[in-house]
Amino acid sequence: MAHVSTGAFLLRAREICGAEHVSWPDPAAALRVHPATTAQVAALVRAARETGCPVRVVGAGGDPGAAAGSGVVQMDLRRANQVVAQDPVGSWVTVQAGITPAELEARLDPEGFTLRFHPAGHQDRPLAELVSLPLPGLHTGAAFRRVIALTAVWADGATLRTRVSPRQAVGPDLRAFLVGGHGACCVVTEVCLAVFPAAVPSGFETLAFRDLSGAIEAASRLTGEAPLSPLELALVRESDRWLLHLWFRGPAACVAVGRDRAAHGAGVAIGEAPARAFWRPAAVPPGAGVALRPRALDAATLAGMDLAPGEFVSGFSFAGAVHFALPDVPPPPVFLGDPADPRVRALLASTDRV
Amino acid sequence: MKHPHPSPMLDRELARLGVPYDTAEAARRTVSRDAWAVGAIMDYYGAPVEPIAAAVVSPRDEAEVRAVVRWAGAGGHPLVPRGGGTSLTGAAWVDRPDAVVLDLSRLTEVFEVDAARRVVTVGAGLTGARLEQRLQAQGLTTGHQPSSAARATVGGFLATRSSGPFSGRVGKIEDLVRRAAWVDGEGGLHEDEGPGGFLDLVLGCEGTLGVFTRAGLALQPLPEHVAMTSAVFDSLDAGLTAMRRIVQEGLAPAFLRLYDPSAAVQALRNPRRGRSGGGWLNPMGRLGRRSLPLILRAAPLWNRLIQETLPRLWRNRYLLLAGAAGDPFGAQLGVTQMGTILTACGGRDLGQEPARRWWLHRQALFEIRPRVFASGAFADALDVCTTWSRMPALVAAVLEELSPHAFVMAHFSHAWHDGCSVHFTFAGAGRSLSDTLTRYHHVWSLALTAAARHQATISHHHGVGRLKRDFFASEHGAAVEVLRGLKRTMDPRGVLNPGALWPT
Repeated sequence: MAHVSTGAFLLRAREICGAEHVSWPDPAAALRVHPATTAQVAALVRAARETGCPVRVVGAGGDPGAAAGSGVVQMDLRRANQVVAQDPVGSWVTVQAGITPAELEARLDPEGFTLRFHPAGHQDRPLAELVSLPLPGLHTGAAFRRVIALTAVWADGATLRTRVSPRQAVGPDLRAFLVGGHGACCVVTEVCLAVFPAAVPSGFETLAFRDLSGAIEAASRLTGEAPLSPLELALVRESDRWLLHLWFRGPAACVAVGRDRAAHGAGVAIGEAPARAFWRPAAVPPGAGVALRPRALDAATLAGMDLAPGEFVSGFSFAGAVHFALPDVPPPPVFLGDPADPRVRALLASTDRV
Repeated sequence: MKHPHPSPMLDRELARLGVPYDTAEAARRTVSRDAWAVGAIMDYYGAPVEPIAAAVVSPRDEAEVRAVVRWAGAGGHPLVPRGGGTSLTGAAWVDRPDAVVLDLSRLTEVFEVDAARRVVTVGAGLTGARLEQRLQAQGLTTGHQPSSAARATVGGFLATRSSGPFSGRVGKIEDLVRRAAWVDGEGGLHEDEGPGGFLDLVLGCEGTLGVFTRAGLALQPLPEHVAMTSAVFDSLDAGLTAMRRIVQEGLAPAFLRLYDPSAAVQALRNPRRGRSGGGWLNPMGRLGRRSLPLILRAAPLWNRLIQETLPRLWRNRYLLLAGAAGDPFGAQLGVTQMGTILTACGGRDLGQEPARRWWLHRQALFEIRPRVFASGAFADALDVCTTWSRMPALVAAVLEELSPHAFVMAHFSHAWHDGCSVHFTFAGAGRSLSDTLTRYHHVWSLALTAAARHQATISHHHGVGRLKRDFFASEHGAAVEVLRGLKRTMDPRGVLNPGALWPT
C-alpha cells in the first residue's frame, strides 16, 4: 500500500466525481465522496488504492464513528439512485445501489409492483448499505436470494457483473458471497432485485400469546402450511404479551382460508389492524432511527431468547428465524479490502492485479 | 489396453497412509468414469475409456480425507473426488493417468437428527435415497429428492448445487444447507454456516476448491398429502405464462412441470405396462440395435413432423403437471387455485391422472438412458436457466440449432419467481465411434453456444464438469478472475479435481 495521501486523493476524486460531489470540511475528519456511476466508483477505488486511503461504504457495517477519522474515504452512493432496467414479465428491476427502499417503492407503485421489503429501520438507507449487511431470512428465504444479479467494484478496482439469472449451478455463487459481506470485498453499485405484483390479494391478522413458547410453536406450525402459510410473520413483545403479526399473500381463497385457520388456532386473534400497520412498507417500524442488527436463530435458540422493546423476530422457517436485535457494542468498522475472515483476505490478495 | 499395476512406490505410499485403497485394474477402471454419456458411447463400440486412475483411495472419516489430501499435495497427485458417480457432465471423470480417485462413499457414519434445531447432520457419502429413507421413518424429510438420489450422495448434491423435482417447495440444495464441513486443497478442515457467505463459494465447486465431508441440512415434516392437477395448452407461451403466474402469485407448488409435444408423450407413459419408461424413447429402445440409429439419423424429419406438422393437426399439445403438498385440505385448495390460473391462461383441464402417472414414474428417464445407449444411439440432457422474458426465444434458438442434428424435446421443471429452467433432452446416432462422438460434441457445442447467446446459464443443476468447462468463462465474465483467485487460495497446489469446472 502506498503512503497515505488524502490530499492527492482529494484532487483525483474531484476530477472523477466533480468538485461539488466531494466534501472534506475538516482535515481531521473523513473525506466523503458521492459517485453517481459504477465507472466513478471504480475510478475512486483505484485512486484510493494508489494514494493509500482506506475506503468504507457508508453504512456497510461496524462503528461509523470509528471510521470517520482523517484519511478515511467514505463512499456514499446515495446520488446513484436510478432505475437501470425493469422486466415486468420476469418481475425484476435493476437499480443503482444508492436508491433507498422508500424511493424504489415510490417508483414501482405506478407500474403495479412492490419491493415487498421490510428492512426495519432501513427504509431510508441505500440498497448499497442493505446488501452489505447480512440480512438472512427476509421474506421467503435469505435476502440475498432476492438479489438476482449485481454489479460490484472489487477491492482492486475491477468491475464484476453477475448474470441476470434466477438460479444456476455453474461453479461458486459470487452473488451470494458478496451480499452481506460488509463491503469488505467490493462496493456493490447496481442490484437486480425480484419485485412482486402489487395486485395480488393480501390479508392480515395478529395473534396474541401469553407466553413465548406458544407464539413460537404457532409460528413454526404456520410456516409449514403452504400454500396457506402467511408470506411473513413477525413476533414482537408488547408489555406482558407476545404478538404474532401475520401477512398473507396469494390467491384470495388461500388468503381467506389461511387467515381463518390462523385466527381459530393457537393464541387470541385480535384483528387485522396491528398486523397491517406493522407490515405497511412505508410505516415507521419499531426501532426506527436505529439500524437493527439481524442475527439468524435456529429453532432451539429461538425458544430461549427474549426481546427488548423495538426488537422483533421475522423470517420464520421451520428451522429458525431472524432476530432483529438492537445493536450492542458496535464492532470495528469494515474497510474495503480488509475483511475479517483470513480466507477472504487471502482471496483478495490472490486476485489483486494492481 | 492393459493397465499394469501402478508403480511400487505409489503402492508403498498408499499403504503407509493407512487409508483403504485399491490399485487393481478393475477397481480403477470402475471409478475412472461417471455417468457422462461419453462412457456409454465408448462401451457400445467396445472402446476402452482411457486413461484410468492410478489408484482409488476410500477414506472412512474426515481425518482420513485430510490425510489423503495432504499426501496428494505433497506428492503432486491429482485427486478426483467421487461420490455416487452420477455426474452427467464428467465432474468425476478421470482424464489423466496419474490421477487418484478420492472415493467418498464411505463417509456414511455421521447421522444425527437434531429435532430441536430441525437439522440433520449427515456424512457426505450417504446417498440421497438412504438419507430420505432414514428421515422418513421419523416423519421428516429434506424434500430434496433428485432423480439420481438412489446413487448420488449428499456431498455430490453440495458439490454440484443440485435440485430435485420439489424445488418449488423446498428450493435447491443451497437453500437447505445450514452448515457444512469441507477439506481444502492443503488438508485444512473448514466448517461454514449458510446459506450465504463463504459456504456459497464452495457449493457448486465440483470438488475443485474443497471436498465436502459433512453437512447439516434443514428438515421439514413429511407432507401428509400431495394433491395434483394437469392441463394442456395450445402454445408454449400460454403454458409458460401459467407456470409463471402460479409461482409469482405465491402458490408454492410442490412440483410444476411443462412439456413440449415430444416430451409430453414421453411423460405420459402408461404405468399399467408394468415397467417404467415409455413414450418415444422406450419403443425406440425396443427397436433393436440397427433400427434405432437409423431412425435417429432421420432426426430432422421427426423433429419437423412433431414440431411443425403435428401442431397443425393437434391442438392443446403442451402438457403442464402441478402438485401441492401439505395437509389434505390445504393441498387440495392449492391445487384448486392452480387450476383456476391454468384455466385463465387457456389450459384445458385433464384432472390429476397425467400428473399421477408422472409422480409414479418420475425417475424413469434415468433408467431409459442405458437402453438407448445399448442400441448404439446417444441421449443426453442440457439443463439451462433464464428469465421468463428470455425463455421463449431461448427455446426456439436451441430447438432450431439442434433439430438438424438430433431428435430433441424440451420440458420445464424448476420454476422460480423470476424465471425457470428448461431441460432439452436430445438423442442422435452416428455411423462409427468417431462419427458418434463428433456428432455428440457438435450438438453440445451448438446448444451451449445458443444458450450463451441468449444469456441463459450453461447449467441449472447438472453442473459443468469437463463437458461444459470451455463455456465457464463466458458464464462468469470478469468474475472468472476472482474465481481463479479463489482456486489459488483454497487449492494452491492444484490437486483438487484439475480439469473440472474450468480448463486447467
